[in-house]
Amino acid sequence: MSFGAQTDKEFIEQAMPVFISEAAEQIEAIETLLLELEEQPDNRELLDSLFRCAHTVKGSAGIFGLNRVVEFTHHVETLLDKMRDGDIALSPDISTLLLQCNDQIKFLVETAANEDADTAEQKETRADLVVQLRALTEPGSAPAQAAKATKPSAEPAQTTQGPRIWNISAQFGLETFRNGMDPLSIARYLGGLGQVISVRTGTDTIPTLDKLDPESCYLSFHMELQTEASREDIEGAFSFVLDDCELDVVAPETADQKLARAIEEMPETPRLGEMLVSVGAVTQDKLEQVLTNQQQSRATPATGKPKLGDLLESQAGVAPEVVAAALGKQQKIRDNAPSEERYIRVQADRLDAVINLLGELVIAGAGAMLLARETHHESLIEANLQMNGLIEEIRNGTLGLRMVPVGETFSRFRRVVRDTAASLGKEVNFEIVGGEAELDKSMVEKIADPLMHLVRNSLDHGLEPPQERLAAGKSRAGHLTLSARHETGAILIRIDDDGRGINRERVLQRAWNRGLVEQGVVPSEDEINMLIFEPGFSTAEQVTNLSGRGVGMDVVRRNIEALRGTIRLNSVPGVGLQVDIRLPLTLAIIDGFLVGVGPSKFVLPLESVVEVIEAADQHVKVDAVGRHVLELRGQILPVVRLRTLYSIESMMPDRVSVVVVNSPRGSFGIEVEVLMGQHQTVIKPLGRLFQSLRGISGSSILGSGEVALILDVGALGDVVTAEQQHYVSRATAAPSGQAVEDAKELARV
Amino acid sequence: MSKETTESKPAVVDASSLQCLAFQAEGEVYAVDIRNVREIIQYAGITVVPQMPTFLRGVINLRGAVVPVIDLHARFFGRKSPIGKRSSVIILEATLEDARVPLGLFVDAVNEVISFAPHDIEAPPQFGSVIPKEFILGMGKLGEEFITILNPDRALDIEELALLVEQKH
Repeated sequence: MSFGAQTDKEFIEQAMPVFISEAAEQIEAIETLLLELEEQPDNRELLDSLFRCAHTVKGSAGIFGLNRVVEFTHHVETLLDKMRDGDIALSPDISTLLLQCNDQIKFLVETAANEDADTAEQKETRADLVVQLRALTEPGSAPAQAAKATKPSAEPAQTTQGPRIWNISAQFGLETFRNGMDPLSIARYLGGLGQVISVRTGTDTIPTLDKLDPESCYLSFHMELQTEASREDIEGAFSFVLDDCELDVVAPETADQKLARAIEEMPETPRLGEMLVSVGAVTQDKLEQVLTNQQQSRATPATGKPKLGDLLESQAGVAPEVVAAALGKQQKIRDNAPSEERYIRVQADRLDAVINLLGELVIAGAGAMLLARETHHESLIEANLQMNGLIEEIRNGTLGLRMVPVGETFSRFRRVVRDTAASLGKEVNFEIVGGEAELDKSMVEKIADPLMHLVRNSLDHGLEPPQERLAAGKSRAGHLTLSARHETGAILIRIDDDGRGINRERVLQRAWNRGLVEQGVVPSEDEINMLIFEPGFSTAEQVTNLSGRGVGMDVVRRNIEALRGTIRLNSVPGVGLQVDIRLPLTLAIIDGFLVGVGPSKFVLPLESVVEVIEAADQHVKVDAVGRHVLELRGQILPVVRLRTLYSIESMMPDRVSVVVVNSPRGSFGIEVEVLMGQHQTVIKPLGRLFQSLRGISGSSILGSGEVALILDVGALGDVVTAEQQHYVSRATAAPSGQAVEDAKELARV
Repeated sequence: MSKETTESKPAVVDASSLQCLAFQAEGEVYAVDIRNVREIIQYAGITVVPQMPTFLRGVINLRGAVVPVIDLHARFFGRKSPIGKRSSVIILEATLEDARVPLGLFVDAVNEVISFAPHDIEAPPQFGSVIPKEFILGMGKLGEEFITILNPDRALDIEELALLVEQKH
């Protein structure tokens, strides 16, 4: 905190964006906590964190003078406080009210910089919410009480005569929670012995998040307890945890000693003056006066800069030992500083710029390597190899910076699920599994909408209303699970519900009616399932307010495929639907395997390549799209000849190779002619013109400047396994419609 | 006052006369407004994208960006232009959803920049033209000859081309 009006203003201007983004996090946390609390209404910790979040928002809004936020949040806080005291129990109505309030807080924070955005309508909503809140918290209106609560809690160290004041410090052992103990209950018990003057929770020993074990206890507390109880009584409170608890119960001491101790035990407060003010060694007014004096004497250069500590001792009468303790603490904080700063907020576009440059670097590195190889100069090749190794490390590190846990997006759905289920009159248990799996930030953003649609879809069309579920012998509440896990270079996101599943008959009927499938033709079960992703397809008997949002299932599929992802359905009628979405971990760069067919070059994602075998006979007969089979270690391996599939016209070489790849449809082989080895490659999208192209997911620029196409192994797998042929090559398709039909016929045989 | 006339006169000429880049495709001469042209590069190989209609020749690497190349002649007449010594790719700026994206135009040869005065440009013929009327901005008169001035926004509309590609599948 600063002391002059000028610096205050600057400080606020600089810190405002940080406040808004941090408040947004708190608000998001409030929502999550509320929803969790609904499921476990007795969970005291949730309630406490909820209160803390609301309090933090209110507190920091206060610093910025955002009175609208403070006023409104205060009412929420009062209700939460009553709930903590057990006066009010959480009911669905209260939960809904709090969620609505949270939306308002969010609105207020977002419009903090712009008061005009606060419309009369919003004000009315807010006033209405306040009335509801007050009706709960103060049966008889008591504004005075409300005003009192906004004041910060009284300064500590307000020593009074009478019963003795004990200073209790307890550092709990790591095993405390696992032993079934709860520091909070001990604190509460102590509160029963007398009057607690101050309590502070020590968080200094909490490790960084990556080292934090949620089941370990890192907490300590320092309490000033005014009581007539004896030392034995106080220590008795700790008897269950005494084995691994560092307990320090200190009898009344001199005021100065106590202040020095308080400073010693303080968390991090970097400024000397503030430390002294906060423990009550000097008043804010006095401090400001001393600071002004210091400022003035600094203006006379001859005397040099007097130290604040000295001035405080001489002018404000602070005891030397108190100042010494504060200075010592300050020094300690400075020593610790580098390890404390674990996070840096970086603008996303700066990071993107670095990643784009990195892409260019990867291409340039590959180019340099190519040139070096041509010279056959050993040490030059060696140097280039080393450089490329480093580039790869930088690449991995930089891409890692963009990785975020997918769970953040998932937890946003809690609210959607809750509200949607409520509006549909359905009951649902929503579960999130594996939210810690990481995914590229830009992917996370792009996947949110399609996922949201699928989740809504499961709720709307999949899960049955309670009566229907009971009639079908299922639990009253439906289950909806959103899970994520890593799977060989990709992430698998699964939406699992135990609803009706896909009604294939109805889907097929609809497809016939809409002309998506020829009347009377019955495709395979999988193909019928996939029909729901066709444009203009909807089987909902009545249009709910959830449908008609302009995003159809076809858009969902298109969005996922645009991310080089795949979507698969696994439906058991009456039992449930499983939607599997597989996505690559990043959009920017992949490790590729470079192959050649005639003059064309293709890149296969390395993670899908299993092995490479030499084809025994390249004169084997293939169908219209180049499919044939090979025997590989006693197994039949379907193979697709790229030359035929892509109608590449050139001299047929003497030898061909088959690259065996893994796809969601199983293993298959891709027949190619030249193997050019591993190739780290930057993915360049092909753009709108090629959007309808299946089997190729993008392009990449080689070190030589040539453009190579990146094969989409999943889509090729579809070609290989497809019964009905959609992938007619140009040579066969061009002459006439009849030829196409013939080719299809041939493909089927 | 005299200053006014001397200043306004060239301005009028500049604003009304149309600077066009003339090029050849299968013997025919066409022109496009020079403001649509970003650059001209010599043909140096093209990466063929499989399963694409004839008019989509493939993609090229334009300083790190992958740019699609359209064969104008194949677009109008369905026949692929042969590759010759003077084959070039004109990089145009096409509009796609309010963004400017580069698009290559494969041509037999690039001729010159011609300036057409407003009275030298005539409306596209009602009939008799081999290419659809909406693709033509006007007919530029050059001596005794008429040169087709293309409307690249229509003739090379990316959305429309993409639809043609989709039909292919």
